[in-house]
Amino acid sequence: MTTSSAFFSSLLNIPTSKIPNMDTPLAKIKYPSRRRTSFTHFHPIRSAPDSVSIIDNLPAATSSSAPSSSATTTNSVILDDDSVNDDEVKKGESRVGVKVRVKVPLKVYHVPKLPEYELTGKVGVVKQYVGIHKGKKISANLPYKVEFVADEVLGRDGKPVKFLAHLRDDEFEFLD
Amino acid sequence: MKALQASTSYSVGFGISPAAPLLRPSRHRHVILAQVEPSEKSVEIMRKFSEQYARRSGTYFCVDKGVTSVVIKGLADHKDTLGAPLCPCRHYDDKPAEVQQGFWNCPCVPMRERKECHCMLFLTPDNDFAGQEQAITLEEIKETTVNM
Repeated sequence: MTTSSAFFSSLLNIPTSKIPNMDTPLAKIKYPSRRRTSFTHFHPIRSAPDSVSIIDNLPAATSSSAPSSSATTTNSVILDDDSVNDDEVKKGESRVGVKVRVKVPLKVYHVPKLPEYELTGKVGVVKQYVGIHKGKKISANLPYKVEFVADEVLGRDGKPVKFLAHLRDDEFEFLD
Repeated sequence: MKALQASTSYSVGFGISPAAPLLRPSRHRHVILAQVEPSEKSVEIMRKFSEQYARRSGTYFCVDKGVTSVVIKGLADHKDTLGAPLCPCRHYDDKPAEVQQGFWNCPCVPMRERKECHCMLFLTPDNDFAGQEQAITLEEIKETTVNM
């Protein structure tokens, strides 16, 4: 038994005096006690990061509640974001068939037989909302597909040329 | 023989052949390269497409050909992985859906309709960064996109 205590002392690097009697089973070895750091310092830091002195509890309670309420509001903002997008999609899809007028200076270059075409002030019809495709969200930044008629140019069959242009919702106004 | 002796005398006492440490870094680099690089065939296809479309739309490549090269490689990579050259300068939630829908398939809708290429691949002459060239060679692409 004495040899075992000597063995443990050498193994654990503890003086033999501190190792208790090995007769008692499950003996707890006492390590030199560490001084515990006081946690009272954290309270003022949490409540008021800029002040150094310890503040009394009332303002601490109010200031600690304020950040938590802002945290909840930010959480709710994040949750609402998806529903905002869905609302936009529904709004866009419900506007198909509505006449619109372009209100910003805009030129397009894809009209057949015309190298450049000025769209400002022109009236067209919303043909499609492109922000959603087979139920999946598409990242298109010009989601409104609007059909215009180019009066200045006549196609091969003598009718004015029709073309489609993609627009953002702030580039035109609805003509209800 | 004398030269050999001179070289071994530099690393005398270690007994390790100089070949062993050299193998490890080159193998490591080879693995990384295989995962990132698009196929040369796709790069060539997108290079030809970029030249042709720049001529057709009257736009020019950037003064910094590195920009043009990176975009061409990005297009080639999407063509390899998705089947269509999706714009490499954007973030997508669902790439196959975007490919099917087609808004961002190069040439994307903003480029086709408004000549707005935010990748800076096709630049209108009035753009500050537009160069004078509508052509780029495969060597230029390789030189300007050397991966470390």
